[in-house]
Amino acid sequence: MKFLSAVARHAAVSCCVALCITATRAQTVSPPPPAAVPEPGASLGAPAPVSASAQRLYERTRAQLVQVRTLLKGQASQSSVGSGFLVTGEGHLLTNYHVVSQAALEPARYRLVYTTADGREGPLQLLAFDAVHDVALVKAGDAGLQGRAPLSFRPSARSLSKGERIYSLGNPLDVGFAVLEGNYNGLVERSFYPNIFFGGALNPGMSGGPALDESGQVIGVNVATRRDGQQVSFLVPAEFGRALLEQGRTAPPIVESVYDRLSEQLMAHQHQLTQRFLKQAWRTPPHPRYTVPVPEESFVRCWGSTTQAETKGLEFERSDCQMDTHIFVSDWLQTGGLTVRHEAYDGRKLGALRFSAQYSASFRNESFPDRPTRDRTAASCREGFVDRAGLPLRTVLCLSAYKKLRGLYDLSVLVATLDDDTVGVQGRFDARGVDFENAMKLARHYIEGYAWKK
Amino acid sequence: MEKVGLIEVLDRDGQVRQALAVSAWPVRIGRALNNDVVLDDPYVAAHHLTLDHAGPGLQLTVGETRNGVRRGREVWAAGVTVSRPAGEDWLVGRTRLRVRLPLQALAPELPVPEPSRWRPALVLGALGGLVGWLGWRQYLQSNPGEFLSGFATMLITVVVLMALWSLMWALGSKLFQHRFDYWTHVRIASTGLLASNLLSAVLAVLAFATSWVLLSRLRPVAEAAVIAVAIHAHLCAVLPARRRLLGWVAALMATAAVGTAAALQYQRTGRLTDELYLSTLPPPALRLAPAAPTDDFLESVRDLKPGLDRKAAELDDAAPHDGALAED
Repeated sequence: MKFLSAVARHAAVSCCVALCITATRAQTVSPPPPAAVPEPGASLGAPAPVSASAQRLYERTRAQLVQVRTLLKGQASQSSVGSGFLVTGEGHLLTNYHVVSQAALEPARYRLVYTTADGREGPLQLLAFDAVHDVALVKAGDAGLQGRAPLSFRPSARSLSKGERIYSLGNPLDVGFAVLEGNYNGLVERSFYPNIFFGGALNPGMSGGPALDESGQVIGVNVATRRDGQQVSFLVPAEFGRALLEQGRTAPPIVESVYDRLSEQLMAHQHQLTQRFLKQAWRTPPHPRYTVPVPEESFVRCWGSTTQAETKGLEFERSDCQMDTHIFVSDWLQTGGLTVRHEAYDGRKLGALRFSAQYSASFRNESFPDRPTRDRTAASCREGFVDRAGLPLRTVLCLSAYKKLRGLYDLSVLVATLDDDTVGVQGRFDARGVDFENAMKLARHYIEGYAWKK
Repeated sequence: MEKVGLIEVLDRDGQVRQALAVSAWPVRIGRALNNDVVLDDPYVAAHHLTLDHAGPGLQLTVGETRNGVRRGREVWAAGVTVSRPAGEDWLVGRTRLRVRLPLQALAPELPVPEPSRWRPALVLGALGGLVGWLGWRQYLQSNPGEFLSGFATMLITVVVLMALWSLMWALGSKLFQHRFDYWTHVRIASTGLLASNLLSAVLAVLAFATSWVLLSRLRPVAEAAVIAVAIHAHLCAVLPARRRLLGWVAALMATAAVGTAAALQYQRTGRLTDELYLSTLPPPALRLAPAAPTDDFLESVRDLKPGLDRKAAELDDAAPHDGALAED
């Protein structure tokens, strides 16, 4: 999935959250030339015909719609653009956290402005944000939006049905305000936090824009799209926007860098994630020799692969499980997810020595944060033989610490069984953005997932 | 006429380039034609020195020269007269001289060196060992039926590199020893390569067996030491008279190389070696170290926290961002 806010140096515009399946954020998309070109799979070029409802909705809501721009202080150049919408008559707007993240993290370098559909511009102040669900509450710093009727939220009691028509609004690719039709497809399955599956084409620049039902009530906030799919997009449910509005409506503007607040939110997230993960029992794949830790697919998605049947060498079966949920911190950093992977090797066709050479090569072929960056330290590791009720494991545990998100670490545990000359299992567990104690709990949970099969 | 002495002019390798018989003392040496021994060296004065027979040795009187006469670090300036034993090397200008006297004891006759009958066996043994090791490694890394194609490519590559390396050193031998000692250098190179590979493999297996990972971390140092010994052997084959000096040179070069690599690694990653964790997993029967309970292992991990927290406090806004490293 890709986040839909865009950075000027790369092009256009934006929309997006905390889901992220296949890869790159919109901030890193290839830059279009001055006349922005939509990306493959984000087909702005051939929208569905605008229905009478879409036309009516756009006319009704264009006064509540704004473009949220992040400008470099000291010059008028825009660094990123997204969308937002009015939620109070006093000038409060909702958008995505990732749309305002540059100004939130580096307020000394960036400032926020809004631009309405009729060309009015004014400053924006950040009042509150929820990085975990990727929503932010901002307020016009002038009186330019006061008196405009806000958009209303659809009551949570009135649930939508799959297939219902919904409308997403925003300013895609900085080319102008637009309304795009699509369908409500329920909540994304196996997502750690609820996200709406929107069957429509969101584009960079629409991040933070509203998604409306037929009656013009807000059902969600545009947030992300899948790069590897077509018309598979995502919305933050409106309830999170409404909660943020209630919480931050009277809050003073945030003028300092938000790293401390981000740390608090991520700390709460990782507690919840760890708690839920530890409550789950491991599934047991059908390995004849070992019990191998494979997570329940309640909020992770697992994919499997195997060697060709006619292979002459090392045979293996692989399982790769990961969470779709990653929390956007900055253009460079996403965190807050788990991955669990294992490979079961059968080297009986190779013999003991050849097996050990190839088993070692596979164990070696792992990457860890090797160098320190601006965001985190290089990995520090401990390794040793661990006894799991008679099953010897070679275990490597690596940690790297976040520099500005104090108290959070990335954890990696690498394990190889060492009980047989020609058969073995290697596995890896990664948890991003967890505190030290939870890292220890998760590591223990993972290591103890290995055992002899009874 | 009876010879009362012999003046030898030496080349830079200490070999006698010219021998001039002395029939009467004293002997005047210089660039002018009226000297008894005329040296064609622009750094020699017209009448550079006079030699006379005095007692069991020689009396050396330095003439009108700005360069004087040198022996090692000792310099005898113009006008100085010194008594010296026969058989010493003196530097007159840039010409090395040595004087022999009739009563001087002769060194015993040296036997003409004959090629060792073991020499071909040693070369073949070293080459065979290296090929065997390369084959073994290729065998371990290949699947059944895929050994030969991979091995042929690797063998050709190694043979070509080895041939070029040995050729380079053999040219050095030709230059300084006047003999093309190609197979000696082949033997040294293949022995060094084989030894460094074997030592590295043994250290990795020992590190696994004992779970003492430092042994594995030291592999680059051990390999560098073996390669330094091999380079020293190459150098000694080229300049056998400077064995000790070359030993120091090889040791210093190896130390500098290992130190520089470690410093660069430390600057980049905060570690002295490239290896983040031990990745050699030999057959389980080779494991000697006991396996610890999970609790003990995790308790040892807690030691990492203070160091990580200290490094996390060192903000470095000049460092690349997290995602930027992938573009390196």
